[in-house]
Amino acid sequence: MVQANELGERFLQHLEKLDRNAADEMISACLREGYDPEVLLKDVIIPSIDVIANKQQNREVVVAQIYVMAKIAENEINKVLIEMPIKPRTKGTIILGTPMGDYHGLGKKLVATFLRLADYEVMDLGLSVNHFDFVNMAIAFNAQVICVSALLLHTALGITQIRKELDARGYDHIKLVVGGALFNFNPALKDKYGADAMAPNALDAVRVIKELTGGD
Amino acid sequence: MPTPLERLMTTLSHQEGDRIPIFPVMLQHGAKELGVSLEEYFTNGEMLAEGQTRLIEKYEHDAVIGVPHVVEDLLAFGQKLVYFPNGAPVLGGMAISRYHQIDSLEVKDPTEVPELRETLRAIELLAKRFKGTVPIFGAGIAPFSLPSMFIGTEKWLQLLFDEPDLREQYITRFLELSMDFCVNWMNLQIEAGADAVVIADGMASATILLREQFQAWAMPLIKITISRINGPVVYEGVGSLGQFADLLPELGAVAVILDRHDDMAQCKRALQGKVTVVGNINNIALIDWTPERIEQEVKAVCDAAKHGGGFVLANQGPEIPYDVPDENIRAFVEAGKKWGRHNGAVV
Repeated sequence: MVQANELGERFLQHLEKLDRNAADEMISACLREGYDPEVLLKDVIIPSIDVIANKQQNREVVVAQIYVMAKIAENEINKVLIEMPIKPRTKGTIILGTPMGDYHGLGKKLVATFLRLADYEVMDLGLSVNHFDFVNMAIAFNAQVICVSALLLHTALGITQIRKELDARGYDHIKLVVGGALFNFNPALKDKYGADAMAPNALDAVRVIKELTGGD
Repeated sequence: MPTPLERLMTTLSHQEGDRIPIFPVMLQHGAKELGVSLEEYFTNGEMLAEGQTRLIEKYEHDAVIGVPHVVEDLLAFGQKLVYFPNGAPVLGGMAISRYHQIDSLEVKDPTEVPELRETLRAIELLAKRFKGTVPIFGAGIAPFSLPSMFIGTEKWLQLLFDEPDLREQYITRFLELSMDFCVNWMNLQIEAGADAVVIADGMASATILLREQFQAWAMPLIKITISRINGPVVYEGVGSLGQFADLLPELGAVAVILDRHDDMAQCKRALQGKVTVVGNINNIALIDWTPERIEQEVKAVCDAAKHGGGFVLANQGPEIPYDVPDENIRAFVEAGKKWGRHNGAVV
């Protein structure tokens, strides 16, 4: 059987060529041949996405590529997940959304996918979410973290309102994580808006949340 | 001393005048000067014109702009705007949610939309006050980017990159409708008195598209659009354009607004004598930078791009945020005057 690292390289090449058929054929063939789906996921697909995420940070790929790559990766992740036993999501609950007035949520879906893969329960509240809704849902579902993705400067002030609302209601233990183009433009805004952490991309969001929640 | 319009014309003809033109894009700060809300300001042509007048008297920069924000273009598509106390309005929703709805999408003539009429009124008033001395700019959304605003960015990306059959079926209709609106709206602004218009094209920048995609989809559209506009056009990437620098002279634009990631010296070399470069100070960071830091940043851009004309100092697109303090705007303009002087100019 082909080694995982060799498969990983091949999968990465398919992603980089935006070749969804080749990626699909490769993962389907691996599953048919009895490859362990968990190994496929953790040692083939996710490391490839990690490489792309780094390229994104270094501005080596454009949004058109990221968009298609994310679609290909999500399709293959879902295909592999079907073959895996259903596990309870034990790490805790994350609330996710964009602030009121911000309808830019391209990266948000990928964050949700990766968090679910990391065994978090994710409640995606969608686009343009009122700060009360973020807080009410976090309290109602005993969430550990609220994740807010933002593109626009002035609507991101909704993040400050989330922080204030959490503090005013005595839920300051709920962590606030921010991400999106705005914070990549100016990381200092994280502190200005009272966030606990900033994640520059979807994979880092998982790492940051694990650190904040003491997960492994 | 030359007028701001003469200064701009000199640089557009790739000559050195007394100094570079300086254009901090302040769409919202006029409301502060007048002590009114942004909603009131954005929907009142007289206030827009008065706000721009007070700003140029205060900072003594080199241009005025009659448009409150290009997002207002979507009012003609039947969309609503949600106003904020400290920033640009955002769309309250999309005009359509399914691709086939493009066939029945009704777009109003801008003169039938009260807010857009106020924009034309602002331009007329600015023309009355400044025509022939200070350049008056209009602005709108470029046709490749308009669909992302009336059907949503994700649906537009999906159509472009993920649905070849649907793309084949619908893309021409999306782009033609957008181009016709953009051309009509820009020509109305020019008729009202704008000396030039800026078309903002966030979805076509090198941040979004690969070079071959830009060449295949965006470039032909931009070229036709610009050729149909009855005045000079400034092309704004609202994202990086540096990777396409060698292609930009073909667009027909007199100037291009560059992003903070673009290498100004490199772009200037590629465009020297052909297209004026505009930019590229980080507009978001202007909120937190000290005046000293702003001077350093302005000096670096001027050193990279001022030689031989063909350069306007501005922020990267779209505009200077509402919360940027006055002292930082002043630092931006003063640094431009200091470091943008040309050798031999009489000070």
